[in-house]
Amino acid sequence: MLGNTHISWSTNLARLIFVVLILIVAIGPLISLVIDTASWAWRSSATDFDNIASWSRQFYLLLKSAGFAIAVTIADVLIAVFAASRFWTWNTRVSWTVAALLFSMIAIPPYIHILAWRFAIDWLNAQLGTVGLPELVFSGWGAAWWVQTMALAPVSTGLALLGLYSVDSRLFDVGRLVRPDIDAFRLIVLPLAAPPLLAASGFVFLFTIVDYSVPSAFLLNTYALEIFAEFSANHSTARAFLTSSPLLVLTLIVLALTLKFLRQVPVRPHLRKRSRQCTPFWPRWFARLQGLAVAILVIQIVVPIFSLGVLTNNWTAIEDAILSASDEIMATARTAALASVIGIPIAFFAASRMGRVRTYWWFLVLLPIGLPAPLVGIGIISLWNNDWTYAVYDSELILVLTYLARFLAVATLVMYAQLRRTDSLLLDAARIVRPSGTAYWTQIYIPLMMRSGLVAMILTFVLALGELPASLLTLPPGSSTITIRVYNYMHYGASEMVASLCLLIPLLTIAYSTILFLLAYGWRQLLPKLPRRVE
Amino acid sequence: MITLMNVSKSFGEKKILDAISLTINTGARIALTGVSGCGKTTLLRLIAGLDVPDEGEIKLSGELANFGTEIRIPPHRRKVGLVFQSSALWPHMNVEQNILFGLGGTPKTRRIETLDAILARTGTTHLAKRMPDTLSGGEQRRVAIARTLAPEPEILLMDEPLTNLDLAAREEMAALIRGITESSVMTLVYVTHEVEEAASFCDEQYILKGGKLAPTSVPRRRKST
Repeated sequence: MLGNTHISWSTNLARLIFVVLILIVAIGPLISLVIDTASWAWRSSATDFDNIASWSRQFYLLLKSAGFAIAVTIADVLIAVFAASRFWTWNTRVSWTVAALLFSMIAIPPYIHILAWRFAIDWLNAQLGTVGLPELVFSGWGAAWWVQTMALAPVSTGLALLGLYSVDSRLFDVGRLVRPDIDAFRLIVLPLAAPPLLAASGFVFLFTIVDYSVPSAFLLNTYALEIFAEFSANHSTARAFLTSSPLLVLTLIVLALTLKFLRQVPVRPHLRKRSRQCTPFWPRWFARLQGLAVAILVIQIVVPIFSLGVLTNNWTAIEDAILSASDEIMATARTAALASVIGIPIAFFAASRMGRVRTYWWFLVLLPIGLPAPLVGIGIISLWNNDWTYAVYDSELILVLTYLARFLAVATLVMYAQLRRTDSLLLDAARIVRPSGTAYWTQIYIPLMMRSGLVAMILTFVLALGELPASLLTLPPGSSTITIRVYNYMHYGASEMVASLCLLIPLLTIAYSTILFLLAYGWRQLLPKLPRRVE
Repeated sequence: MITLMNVSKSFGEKKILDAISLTINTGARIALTGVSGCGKTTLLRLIAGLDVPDEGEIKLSGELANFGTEIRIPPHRRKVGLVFQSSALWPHMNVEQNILFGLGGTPKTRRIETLDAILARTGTTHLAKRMPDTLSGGEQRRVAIARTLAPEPEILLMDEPLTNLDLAAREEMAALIRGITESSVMTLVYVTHEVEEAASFCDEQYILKGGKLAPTSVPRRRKST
């Protein structure tokens, strides 16, 4: 009895610590902004509010930003549905390899796509010029739309494929016996795969509207950039927060809808063996669109590889880039790795509560996905820039906190998916046969969660490497990150240097993933071996 | 008539069906038995056109449906109905919509008549507006049969339709299946692993073992193998 009380007390304490950590890391910046704004509003007069911004201009900017995000979402979802419907009919192992390859393309941040596409179009124009054809114009909203679409196409296609796999293939088979395959797909598979598809749409919309990196590279203003500009001009967190409020309302509504769809995604995908299954007979128009979507995805993969390959063909340039940016490379790798390591236990706790606690927990934990990225940076400044926490604010730790604030939600989603997939009977059985707490954790629970934990860590690392809009604000004096250096160089047109630095991003990701997998493998080797069954 | 000629199918290294030849005449009722994983369901899926054989030919009513890995007749043109072990009702459609799905090209009045007749025949009229997740296992199985019968298939394939039902539901379903098969000229291929169950519905029984098919009872209506 006493033992139980003790366990319950310590468990509750651990829970409390994790809840506080989540509140500080993920929600803290927003809470701090709200408090700052309330305090400012209390002290201010009506004219102070009038001076914040031109509301009509802001409304126009919001419409423009939302229109841009919608255009990217539509394009990405169309590519996703057509391409995923083609991959879905392939052999299961092949299509999952494709999905893994697509997800690994997330390691290429948007600014590498900007560089790659600019270079590819310049190269193409040079070829067109030699045969006397007019050059392609690659600027403005069209170019920004294309690059952003390319950058997010792997996310939407991966989620769409997951959605199609969430439908029991027998439901499609029954439909195929009485109606043409396209009818069975349109009327049975698509409606059943709708929740993940709609969640994918929501994520693409949110990732586009909260980030300004791509439009700003094409000298275009968006609402997210406006928040950054407002803060840079006045250094007032309250004014920046009030400026962001219309965008915030929009993103939170979209986030709520996205989470609603996400919760409807079935627990486990239906992975039936598809050894020489009868391939669906698609109408010609549908097959052509599928082919086009797959071709776009292939281009999406080939263009960055080709452009970076050509741009960095000079080893001296790579060496120069590494030497000149060694401090940034080390700082970025250090902070991103630290964020991914610290984030895992917090994400795991947050995910484990998502299965039990009501909707508000979902919304609280995943809220940062819907926050405009500059606002996260401003919130972190507001929270940590004070006398008591200045040591943190003035150190590299602030970058770690920035990355956690932005991407803890993503790691939480990965862990949540693993928790839902894990059969609770496995854990119950482990509790019965192996009652020791340590053995339960080290031999059953952690190995079951290991793979997703590693994926979540790598994902956090990758996203942190490419983070720009929030870290640009929170960066401690005298430091920089690879992304910020690349972003600055890009505006000066130092293509060779930029390409060399861009190449380092996937290389760092590969190095980090390898280290993690080696550590994980080594750790498991060190475990005491399970006793052999006695005959 | 269903004709299988030297049909083979492997999953990886394992040969599930090994050069199977079988002719099932129109209106015949045959049962396929065998242990789990012996290839009974695979054979049904090959006839339905949902899977492709590695080798061999499949003919339906004299027309070549499969020639090796080449598909000559797509699944929806084979006039085949398949009742899965799991019912496989579309969860986003109610019972009525599940049944009407297969009547896509038919005029509206004809569709309604067929729907009413099928609902009455399978005793599911009172379930017409219900969603699949609100039905019991037995009711789901009845609706699955109603949905399969609606487009009037010439060949009815049943994959262990009585599995996972309680005793009362099994008896009701057995009576329904018997009523349907005895009052129609549909060709029936009935898959089960229970020999007695097979005997109660079918004229002939075959056992699948080691990828080969062998008759297990004296045929009442002559079929060639």
